[in-house]
Amino acid sequence: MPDVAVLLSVGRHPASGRARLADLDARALELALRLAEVARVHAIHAGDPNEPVLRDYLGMGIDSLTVLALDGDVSGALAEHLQQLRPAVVLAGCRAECGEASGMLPYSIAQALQAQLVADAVSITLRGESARVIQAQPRGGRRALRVALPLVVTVDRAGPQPRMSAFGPAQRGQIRAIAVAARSRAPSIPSDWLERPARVRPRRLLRVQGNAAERLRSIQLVRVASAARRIDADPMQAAQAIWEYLREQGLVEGEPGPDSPSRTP
Amino acid sequence: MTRRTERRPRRQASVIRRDPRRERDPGAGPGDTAPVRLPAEHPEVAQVTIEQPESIVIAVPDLDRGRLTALDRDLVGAARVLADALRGAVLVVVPTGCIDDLGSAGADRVVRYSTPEAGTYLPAVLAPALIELAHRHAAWHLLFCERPAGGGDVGRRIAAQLGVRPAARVTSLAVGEAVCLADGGRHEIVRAPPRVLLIEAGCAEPVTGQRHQARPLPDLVLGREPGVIDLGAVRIDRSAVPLIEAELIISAGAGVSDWDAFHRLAARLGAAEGASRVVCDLGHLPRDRQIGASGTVVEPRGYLAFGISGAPQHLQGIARCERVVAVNSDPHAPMMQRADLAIVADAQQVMPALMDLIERDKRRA
Repeated sequence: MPDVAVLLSVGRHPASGRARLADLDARALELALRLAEVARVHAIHAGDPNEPVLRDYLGMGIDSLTVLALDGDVSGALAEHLQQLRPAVVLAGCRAECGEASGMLPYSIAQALQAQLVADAVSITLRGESARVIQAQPRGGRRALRVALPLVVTVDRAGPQPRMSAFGPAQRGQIRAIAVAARSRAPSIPSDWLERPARVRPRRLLRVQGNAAERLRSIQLVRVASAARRIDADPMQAAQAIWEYLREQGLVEGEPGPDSPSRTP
Repeated sequence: MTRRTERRPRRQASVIRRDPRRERDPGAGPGDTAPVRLPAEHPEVAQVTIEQPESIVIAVPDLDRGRLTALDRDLVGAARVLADALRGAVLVVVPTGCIDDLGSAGADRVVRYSTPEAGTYLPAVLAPALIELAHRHAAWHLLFCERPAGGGDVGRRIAAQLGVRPAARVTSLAVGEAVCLADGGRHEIVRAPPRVLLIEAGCAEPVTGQRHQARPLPDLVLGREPGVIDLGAVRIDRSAVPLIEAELIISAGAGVSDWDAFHRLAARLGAAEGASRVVCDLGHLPRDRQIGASGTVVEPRGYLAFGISGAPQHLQGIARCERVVAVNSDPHAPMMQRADLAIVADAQQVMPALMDLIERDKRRA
């Protein structure tokens, strides 16, 4: 049975600032739990083993959670732990909710494990020595990939909605702490970086030249189509005109428009 | 709404090309369809040529259907900030399918790569090719759009391979200073711009009023990555896509009462269903389908409005739609002003007619 490791972090509520499940990591755990019938799922957290929020992950339906007890930079310790575990698949949210949150951890883990990486996955199925991953694309599109194992997968908001956390399993689940000597006690943010509360940046204004009516329209963000066509017709002619227009613009399936060379069939 | 439509006498079939400039001109007749020469948007465009750049800044836009997005223009603008400070040139890397004018966006040099053979997973092969390109041109900075499966993926691969800490979620960029959102957006980190920068929208002003040279350089040759095989796009139910991501939206207003026809048409066209506030207030469609300032602000490529008059709040919600088709019995409705194709007809009768037409077309094919 292949091993699937899922990396879980502690999130922070965007409004209240309280600790909570990290949404993207919970989605990654959801993907992992869907593989529970064909793989062993290992949930791993690096940080404080006494963090109460970790129980919420247990409540989603895992028996135990391994915590690498350390403070400081987690990527080295996680990579070392995973090199020993040798999982077929590593799952993680694509970005943390606290700290620098640069989204680099999955990439450095993939580098350390010499694994393939697929970003923004929606689903995974394991097939022997490879995995089939569905990846989210812009505008709601999906793409299928066949990837050799080992594999690191990141999950973004297109990932599956995490299941509810139940109280009973959350209390019964075990948290196994492993004491790890953090390799570097260096602060995760170098001293020559300046950290400050984020400022709200002013929205960019459109600079529109023209008469008062045009400027007003630009504030209302209403654009008047310049080369508009108006058809005054009976329903059949109207339908014909709409259908022709939709096809001409490549807006209906199977009819690539004039300006869509990169569209995949 | 419907009653009023029935009383109105049926108009004669005619096609009018509407041109607002002409309409204001009393001398021009309504049927005059002679082409009107519009003044150039930027009368004096400065040509910028950089022959001997002291350094190169690489920008890799994400593109949408071969065109630069607003974020891509900000990305090239951000690259310009860094390049101008170093007296350097901006090198933009795009696929051969890119059909946009890169010179006016601010590109001094352009490198293209042809879409690799079927089955090649692009990010995995693009990352090493870009590192090679950066070495060849001694380019220091590489800029990408911060999108998880797009530039954000390629940029982080490169950062991991080069062993650098990238500046992620860069919201503001100046000489010697990159401001990155951290801590879930509650804090920002100010640091010197590193080699790899992942740019958020609004990070820098897009280039306007200048035309750069966009000199083509030899194409980028992509290698192979046997570990990942791209099996191609998966067919999806396009009408189930969230409104905000939808490509085609069919939207109903108070002028629609035949909901069966509306739902069938949406399913047949593979379009997401939207509605005006009135329709949602009456409970014909759920609240999450409401489009407008108090609902969802959408930006599909095509927007098909049936029986929507176009309240200002609704028009705000569709301000960024590319193509708008409106069917309304009132030719003076604001929605008809906004539309690229405005049809004066009763939505109730056009919907089944369009459905019939699609079915007939399908049978013929």
